[in-house]
Amino acid sequence: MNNVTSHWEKKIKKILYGLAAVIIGSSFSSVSFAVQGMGAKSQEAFLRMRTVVFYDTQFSFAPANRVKVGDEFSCTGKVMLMPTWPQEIPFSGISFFNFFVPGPQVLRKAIWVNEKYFQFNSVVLEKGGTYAYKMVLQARNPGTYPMGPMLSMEEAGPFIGPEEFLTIEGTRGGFTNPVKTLLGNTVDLENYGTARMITWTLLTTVVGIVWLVYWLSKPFTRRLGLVAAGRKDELFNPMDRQVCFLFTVGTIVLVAAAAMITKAQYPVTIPIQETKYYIKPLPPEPTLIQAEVTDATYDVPGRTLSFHIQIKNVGDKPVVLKEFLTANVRFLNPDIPGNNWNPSFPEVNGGPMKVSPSEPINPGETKTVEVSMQSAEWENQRLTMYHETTNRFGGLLFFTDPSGTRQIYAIADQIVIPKFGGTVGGGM
Amino acid sequence: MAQTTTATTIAIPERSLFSWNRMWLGVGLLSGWYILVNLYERAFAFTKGLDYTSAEYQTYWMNLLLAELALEALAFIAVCTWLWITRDKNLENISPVEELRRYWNLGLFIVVYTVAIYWGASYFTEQDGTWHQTVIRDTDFTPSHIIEFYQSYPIYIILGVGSFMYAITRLPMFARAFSIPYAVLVGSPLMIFPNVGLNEFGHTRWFMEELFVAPLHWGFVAFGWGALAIMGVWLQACPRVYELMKQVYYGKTAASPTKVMDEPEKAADPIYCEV
Repeated sequence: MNNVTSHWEKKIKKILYGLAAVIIGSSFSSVSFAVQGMGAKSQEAFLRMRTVVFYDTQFSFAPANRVKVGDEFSCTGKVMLMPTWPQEIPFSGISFFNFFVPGPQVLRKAIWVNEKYFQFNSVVLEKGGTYAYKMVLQARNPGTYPMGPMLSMEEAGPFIGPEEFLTIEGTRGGFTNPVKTLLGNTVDLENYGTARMITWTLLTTVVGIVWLVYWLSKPFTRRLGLVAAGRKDELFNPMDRQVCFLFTVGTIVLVAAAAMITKAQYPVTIPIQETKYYIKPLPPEPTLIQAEVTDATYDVPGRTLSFHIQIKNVGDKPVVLKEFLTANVRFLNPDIPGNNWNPSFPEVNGGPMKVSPSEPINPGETKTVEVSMQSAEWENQRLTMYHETTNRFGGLLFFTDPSGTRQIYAIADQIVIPKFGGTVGGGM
Repeated sequence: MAQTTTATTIAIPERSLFSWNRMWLGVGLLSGWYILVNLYERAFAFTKGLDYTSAEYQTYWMNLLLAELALEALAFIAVCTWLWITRDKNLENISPVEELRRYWNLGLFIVVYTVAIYWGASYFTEQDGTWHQTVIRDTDFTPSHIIEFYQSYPIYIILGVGSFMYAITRLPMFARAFSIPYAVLVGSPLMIFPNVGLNEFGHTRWFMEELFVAPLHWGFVAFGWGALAIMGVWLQACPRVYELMKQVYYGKTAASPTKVMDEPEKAADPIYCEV
């Protein structure tokens, strides 16, 4: 019997050790995100299609998507805040141009918004405004990570731009992040203040632990008995009073001394800056057309979004509809010569956008066209509006004339009627 | 007429009756489990848990979610059923030593419940705040939520309700009367779990920023404050505990269990703390 028990004990121990080794081993091995992105497509369709649209996004590391630790790279592009903002999403306008990546794998070294330089501050943006940004980043940790631009808005949360996977090669050893202070000193932000932080944390933790050990080491049940025996005065002896006094005065002295030491070592400091900058939107692009979407449907079994748009050409050249962009998915009109998909585009390729009639709209002409996009990406990217509490969609239409002049038309709040098909039964 | 019991015939109980061992066992198992859970998170949260729509996410996280929810429901039913089936049906005749021992067990139970609340409402909740700062908001079932909301919260709820069931099935003072402080001590942190539903609905529908002080999060704080009702529970229990100690160890008389069951509020009179 003992042998059997011992056998099973050994077996269980073996399994537990193996499990622990696997878990601990995977905890400290280098991570790879090559299979999945940041999961932005799990956010609601109305959030991604009708709030902030990123376009003209470019990463300087494309198309190789490989850099070495310490290399700098840039991300540039534009964002439009849709003119009709969903009522269910708060709009404060107070925003921070950010760069998403799982953890501190890269450093954000500098950012410009409409050519104005920022490093720390939030900015105030307007509905309907377009803003151009440029971010300079530096590779920090080796590995493969999804990353891209992001706009974080107070109250509304994060809005995600298109993502790319970047492989950072090399090793972390020797990586530094030197910064010159206003006093002219150069400090390495990779380890600046770390020792001081750890020292004070440990010191104050030790104070707390000693205090707890002193009191908890006294016999608990016997103390209850003393109360029951009417000898509760004996619970607190002169030694206890001295210890309390020592801890009270000692911690006050410790905190005061810490403040004085820090002030002596860092005589010049400035408060954390709260300023928010108002950024004037980019001037509007040349007006080529006036347009209005009149209706839209989503064919559920056919995975097709279609809408009619009445377009009036107010320019002096023929105009064509080149592209539709929503939620980082692009649909290109294949009838326009050279309007092909470029693999270095960071957005998702939605497929062709069918425009009928396909002929250009001549100057002065008003025409109603049907735009139709059949694509599995409506499902893959979870942009199926019939699942949402508001069946509305948005996005940007890109019109162009033969000279290459571009006009962007924002569809911000168009209701979509889902079509479930004849074979879908039930209901009313 | 109320009965009274004299303690002169009762022998001093063995010290082993009032052992800390069960508490250390509970705290050890709980903490050991959560350390393993934390290692699992470190291994698979970032690498397999960012994209809800990926197959790996389903394997590593959604399966975990389904398994833990099923096990928690079963554990909740099992704990409550076992405590009810094995309840003391003869509470009127419980001995002072046994009653005192059960108060001791209740205290240990509540300590373990408190540690479980720490892991859930402090450690894993802080961790979730960090997750939101690091990773964009994803779904209601982020790896962080799967551990925080759907594992650590139900575990402390099971322990809290379990301790409450222990009290009402084994202690005369709590058997017939309803202790409001105890109901708040257990019920208020419990309400954090349904508040999770409101929170996720709100983040989906209104899209509040993940700011801890956002009004959508106030429910977590208010319900968490309900744990302060532990003071009320001890205030109710302490007079009876001292009364029993005086009877068991010093031969003084204490109210009988029958009297306590008839008039529990009198047993909670602070006068019994006086000596």
